[in-house]
Amino acid sequence: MKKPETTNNKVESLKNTYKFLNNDTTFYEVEENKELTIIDIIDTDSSFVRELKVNDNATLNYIKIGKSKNNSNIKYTNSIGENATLNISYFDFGSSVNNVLTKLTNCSSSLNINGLIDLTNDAKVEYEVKTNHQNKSFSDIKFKNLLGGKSSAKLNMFSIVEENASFSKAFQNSQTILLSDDSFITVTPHLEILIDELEASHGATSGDLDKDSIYYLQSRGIKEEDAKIMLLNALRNEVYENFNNEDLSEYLKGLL
Amino acid sequence: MLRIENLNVEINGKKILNDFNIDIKDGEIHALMGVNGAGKSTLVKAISGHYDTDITSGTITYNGKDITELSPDDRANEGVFLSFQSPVEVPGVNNSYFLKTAVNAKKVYNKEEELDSMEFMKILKEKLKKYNLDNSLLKRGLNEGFSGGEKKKNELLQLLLLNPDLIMLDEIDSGLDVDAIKSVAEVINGMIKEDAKKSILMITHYDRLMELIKPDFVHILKDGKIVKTGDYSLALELDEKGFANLGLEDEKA
Repeated sequence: MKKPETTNNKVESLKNTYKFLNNDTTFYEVEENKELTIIDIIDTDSSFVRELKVNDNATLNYIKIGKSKNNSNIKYTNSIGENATLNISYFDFGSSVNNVLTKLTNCSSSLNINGLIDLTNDAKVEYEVKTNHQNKSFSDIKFKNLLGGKSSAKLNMFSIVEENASFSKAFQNSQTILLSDDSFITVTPHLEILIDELEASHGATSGDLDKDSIYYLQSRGIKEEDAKIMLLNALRNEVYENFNNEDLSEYLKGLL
Repeated sequence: MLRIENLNVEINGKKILNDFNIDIKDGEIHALMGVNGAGKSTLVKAISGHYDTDITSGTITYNGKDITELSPDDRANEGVFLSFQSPVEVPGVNNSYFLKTAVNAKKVYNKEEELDSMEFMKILKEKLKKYNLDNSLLKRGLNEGFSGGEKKKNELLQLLLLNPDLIMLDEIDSGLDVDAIKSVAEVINGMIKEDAKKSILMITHYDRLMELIKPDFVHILKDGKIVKTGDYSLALELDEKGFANLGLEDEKA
């Protein structure tokens, strides 16, 4: 199996286009009506604070690439303005504990979280994602979890929709593929709803790779192990391709 | 090319094929007919190595080699191809990438040099042009959101690129209009013309495909074994009279 091809030129040009956070940065703010993409590579074993503020009508695309070997501890506090959007992508390949708190206090503010927890060996990842709808707002929290070796993950998604947040939308979803007998996950999707007028859903699944898909690929001459790699990469690609930005998706595939 | 002797196959503990025998020589075209549940699809699945099919006894000998213990990928690389009635959708696996991976898997198996992207695209374009197949399916996920007709076209494309020796078609004509069936026949007949040693085992309920790909033998399957064998005229007789009037209707069906 060949890795996706990414040219060096493209990587270099992207480094100039996107902001990279270093470990000292704690606060990032996007001005009104602006759009910014941040790539945050966390590969050391320490504690971090990330405060992300998106002002009115602005968009922030925040991408975390977690590669800590032992453990990193990250606390996120997000605030989103009126008609503003925070798109978060968490890519976790190492161990970390993450607390994510988002207060949706402004009308038509949106939070999209796409997580990919992709672990091998004995890596452990924990997420506590708390979302508080205090005005008419939108949240969509999705995690794909691919766990091999003796890795484990714990995912608590807690969304509350308060009385003055009528017509909000709040979604939670977790999809897990357990690749070994020793890997495990605990997922708690939780919605607390104090109003009648809203759209909300939550769900969690876990299982193996689809046997029919593996067989289909094998029936065309592809070895079982390679077929599984293709299917896993397909699941990863679904997350990478969420960006609606081909260059960025390709860049991430190369980086990861 | 393919000899099956006393094959017994179970699915989930239920016996489906019952002392099944067939002998397909190089270049022969065999059609398999029978009521639903007779065991037609189980047979081709067992030949291709589907995980559900449990071979309790008997042998499947392909080109002199017993393949019952081979993995589905090894069987495919030996030259066995099954065109599926309803191929699965595999979102996220790019169709073009999948086709190239499959072609190169066979190259590796045969200890040949793998094709690079340029070489692969050249061959792909030649096949598409020759059989007037459009290339709109290549950029999409494998079978993802494909219509029934598009899925069948994609199966044909895989067939052309992998160039197997034993071609098994499981109701490739189902759900296709007359023009689409003609395209299927054009591909199959084109492949046979290029290599007269290729053998075909096709499952069909309809005469239309057999009008275009004339079988040398027509077999009727009932309760997991062949109960009647004839030439093309048997298919015509069946089309006219139906299974019931030939005394071949499955009582359980």
